[in-house]
Amino acid sequence: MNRSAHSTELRKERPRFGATFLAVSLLCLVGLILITRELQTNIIGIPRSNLPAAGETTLLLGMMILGSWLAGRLIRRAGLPPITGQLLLGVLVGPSLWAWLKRPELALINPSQLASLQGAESLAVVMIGLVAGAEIDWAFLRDRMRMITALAGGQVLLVFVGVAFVAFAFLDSVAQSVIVATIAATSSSAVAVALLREMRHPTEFARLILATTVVKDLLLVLAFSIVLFVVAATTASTHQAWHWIALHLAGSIGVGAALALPLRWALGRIERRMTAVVLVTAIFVAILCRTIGVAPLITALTLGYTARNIAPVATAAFFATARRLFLAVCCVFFAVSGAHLNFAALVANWGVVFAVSGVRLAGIWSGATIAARMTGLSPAAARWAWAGFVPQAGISLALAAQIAIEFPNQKWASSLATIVIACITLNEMIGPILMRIALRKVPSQA
Amino acid sequence: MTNSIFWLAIGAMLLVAGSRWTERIRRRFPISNVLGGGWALLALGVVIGPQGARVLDEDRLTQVQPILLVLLTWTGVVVGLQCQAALIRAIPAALWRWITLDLAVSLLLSVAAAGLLARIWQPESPAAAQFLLTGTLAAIALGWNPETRSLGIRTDAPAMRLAVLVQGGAGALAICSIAISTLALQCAHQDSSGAVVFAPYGGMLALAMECGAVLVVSLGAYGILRDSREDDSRTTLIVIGALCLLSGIAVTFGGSGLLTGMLFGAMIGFGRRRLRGLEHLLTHSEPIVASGCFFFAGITLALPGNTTSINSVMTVGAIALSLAIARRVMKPLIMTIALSSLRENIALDSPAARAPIRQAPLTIVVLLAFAIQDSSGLADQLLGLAVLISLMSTLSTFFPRRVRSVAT
Repeated sequence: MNRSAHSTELRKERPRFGATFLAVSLLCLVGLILITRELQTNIIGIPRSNLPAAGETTLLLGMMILGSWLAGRLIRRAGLPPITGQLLLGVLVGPSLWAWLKRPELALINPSQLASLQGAESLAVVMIGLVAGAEIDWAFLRDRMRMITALAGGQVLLVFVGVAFVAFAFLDSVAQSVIVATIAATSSSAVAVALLREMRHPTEFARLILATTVVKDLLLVLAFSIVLFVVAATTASTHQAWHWIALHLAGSIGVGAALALPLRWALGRIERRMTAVVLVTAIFVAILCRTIGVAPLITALTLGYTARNIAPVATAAFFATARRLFLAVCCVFFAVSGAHLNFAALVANWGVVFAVSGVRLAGIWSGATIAARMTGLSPAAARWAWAGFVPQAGISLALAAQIAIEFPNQKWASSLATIVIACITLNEMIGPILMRIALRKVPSQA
Repeated sequence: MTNSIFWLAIGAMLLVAGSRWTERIRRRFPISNVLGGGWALLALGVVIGPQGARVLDEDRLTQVQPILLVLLTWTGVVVGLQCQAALIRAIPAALWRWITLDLAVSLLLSVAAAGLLARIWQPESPAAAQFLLTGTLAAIALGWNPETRSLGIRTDAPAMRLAVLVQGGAGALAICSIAISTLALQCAHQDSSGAVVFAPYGGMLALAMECGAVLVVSLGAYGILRDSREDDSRTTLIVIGALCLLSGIAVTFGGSGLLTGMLFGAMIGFGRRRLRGLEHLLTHSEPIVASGCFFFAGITLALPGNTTSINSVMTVGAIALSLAIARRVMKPLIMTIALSSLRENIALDSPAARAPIRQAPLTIVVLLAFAIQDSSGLADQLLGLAVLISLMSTLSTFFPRRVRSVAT
């Protein structure tokens, strides 16, 4: 009798998010958007709003947040990371896939509506940066500096050399090959922090992957700036690349570090309304970065890292609130990233894309594995460390976009950017799956 | 750069509003309730908005409109969450009487006041505009401020009982206020040429469609939240997502989000299982949402009439003063009549008895919702009028001080 009551109790307590419930909810959500739009367009005599654009933005944002979460949960039942589901939802509702299939009218979000979500996307980038920065502890970084340097250096070296050779074989230009190779060496701190936050208790291995990714990406942004400077000096570029170096790295780090002090001062005096403080801080950082032209992700990373390390107690409530909002932020960021994925470019350049991605994968695997074994990581960690560096997203896309901005009148620049974005698309799809496997395979003690 | 300065200013305001220093001042001087919190942000909105320094012009305002829509829906959810079966069952007969009497008197006075106001402001306004004006004035007149602490604290049982009745009545009348103003707004709305038309069928159809959409979203959200085991991140995600979705649906059907939010809150509130994580999140965010709405109200409001003419300013001041005086006289009278059967058990001479005089802060939000739907400028002026009445009615609670506010 008691056992039966206990099992009934357990059944009641067990979450009911079955695949059917999730799939039906997702379909209802998409159906709701379609029916709402249909009724608004076709029924005459109902009141019209004065704010149709703002209404459409909030409707799509709601759909992105809820739909992305549902898609993430649904895909998790298949053993894949939620990020993959979120990206897939973005792909399915975004304009790129349907444009490639020559049925743009079937896209739930058209390009102008996608552009209206840019504000939410910028905010998400800043929030991801803040949380990622706060995850990195100075003591952790100092104690494992040798490991981090070896892991980052090993794979960057092999990826750079390997991809440069392959890219040269396809593109027949040293400058272009070096640009592709530099971007190929970057990874995604956004994916790393999203998977780390997904774990109830982040393991040391996960923190090591995140710290290495952040350090590596910062160095690669500097390297990319130098590469652009050299290429710009040899071609007729209208831009001053050294300005870009100064702003993108030194400027971003400087602004982030400088903002940490007023933030610490303010947080020492505020004890209530932390959600509003986090949101206002993120909006302020996003707007400031756009106004003065610095990189929002690097600025937010530096701000999060500095604030957390100079005042861990005063900023504890701030970062706890940021982590609470992180799930919603990730849903928006990855769904919008999925909607931006360029399938036409991937298909049009499949040869070079698969060759570059394959060599990149091999370079990351060999570089990270050798470095991990040399620095004394546990066997499981050494076997799977490479998988944490495959994803690409925010920083890589920003660097790819910079090619076209830096060389506006060069035909090769736009086609090179297309190839690079296609490579990032592929890595963005397979990377989170590999990283999730790695985080599961390596035990927490490793 | 102006945008950054704007957000820095908001951050500074939050710093001041959320600091221990402000809290100490507020506890010490009751008058700071008029100057602190939402009112400070309303003043900031006036200063930097189109009426003031124009830091936030029309273009920038367009960029932040989605935030405003979500805030309005959020307010609706907070109001709707009061609809809990246990709470409704606990309402005593005397409170039902008070609510009904206040509703009836406010509606009757609103019809009269709308006729009078229409003659002063827009003598040639059509019947549809007068219907809309009646609904808006009813929203201004209905209910009161539920907060009683700032008026003085008395901890004896009769005073506490009255304070509970004041809060309960304010909550129920807030629901009535949103329902009446939304009905008026949906039935008498502007057509494509900008003229106000009376179209009840279209309005009702839009309301029915909104209700259907709210039902679908509520059932889904309730299903997920019921099993989320107080997971803060998931609750936050579902709430933000549902609020965005409901705001979008409401705007698609010509509404503002207040009603859809309220219906969503009511459905969650009526649910068999208490969602404490959700209630905790919504209750804690209430001051932020209120401050945000007050800030947008400051940006949106316009002083009624031609402010360059002294006569016009005097007329507006006189209208606001007369409506505030009407509140000062009518509200205590209604309370005394409605609660006469409980005279022995409640302390009508306690500080809480002055609470019904003050206008409900929700009025500002209801008029803000009206203002974003109206392009004629009338709603902006009514919002300005509501702010004046609100300030005057708050100040009028301090005169004359006959009540006993000695703590026991």
